[in-house]
Amino acid sequence: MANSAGLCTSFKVELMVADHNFGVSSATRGSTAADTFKMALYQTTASIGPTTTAYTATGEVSSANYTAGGATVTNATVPTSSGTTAYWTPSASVSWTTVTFTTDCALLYNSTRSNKSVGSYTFSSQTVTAGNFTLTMPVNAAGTALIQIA
Amino acid sequence: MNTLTATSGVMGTKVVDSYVTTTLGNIRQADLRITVEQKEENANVWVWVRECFYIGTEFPEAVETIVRRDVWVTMKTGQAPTQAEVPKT
Repeated sequence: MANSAGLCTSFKVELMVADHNFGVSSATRGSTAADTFKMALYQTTASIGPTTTAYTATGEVSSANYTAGGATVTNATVPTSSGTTAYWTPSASVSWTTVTFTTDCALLYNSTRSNKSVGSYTFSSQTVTAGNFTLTMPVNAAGTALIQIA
Repeated sequence: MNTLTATSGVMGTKVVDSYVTTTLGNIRQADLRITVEQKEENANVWVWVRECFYIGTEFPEAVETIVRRDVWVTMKTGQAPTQAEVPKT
């Protein structure tokens, strides 16, 4: 198997039952705080993709200075919309310092809600050697945002 | 120690060694040959890679090997799969 990119199918369904809260208020959830979202990195031999329903440690990269489960993404921007597209993007890059691994996939997931998956993002195989790995986020706008519901 | 910040002798100031964290430990930046490559993978991803090759004399077995590799992956766009899934009429 290989990693593949796309919003997770389970995420689309979970949106309809208010499982995820990227903003700071929710009419149907008790808490008004945004959920905590994380990004984990996977080896090229993993099988992460749109059918992934939750974070898994299987196939995740390992290294000094990389904690299983990945890193928390900075969420300082509430979801918004433009035209008919709703969108959201983490408000900062996600990075790891002084790590050694090879990866081609990142999984965004909701650690507040039982690690339910949101989306997988792929790139060509990248080897980091005693160095830094940074995922720079796209512009938070319709057409470019990390998560778009069009 | 985890820096690639360059120092220089600009304006007559003394040149100070910078050290870089590598697989060999902290190595003087002067003992490294640093290359930078950037490429547009596709419409969605842009990758920037910095490689450090050892060119010093303390570790002869490591000469011209990569002792540090940094990667920046820029996601230019996320996914809007619902657009692709809806057939155009």
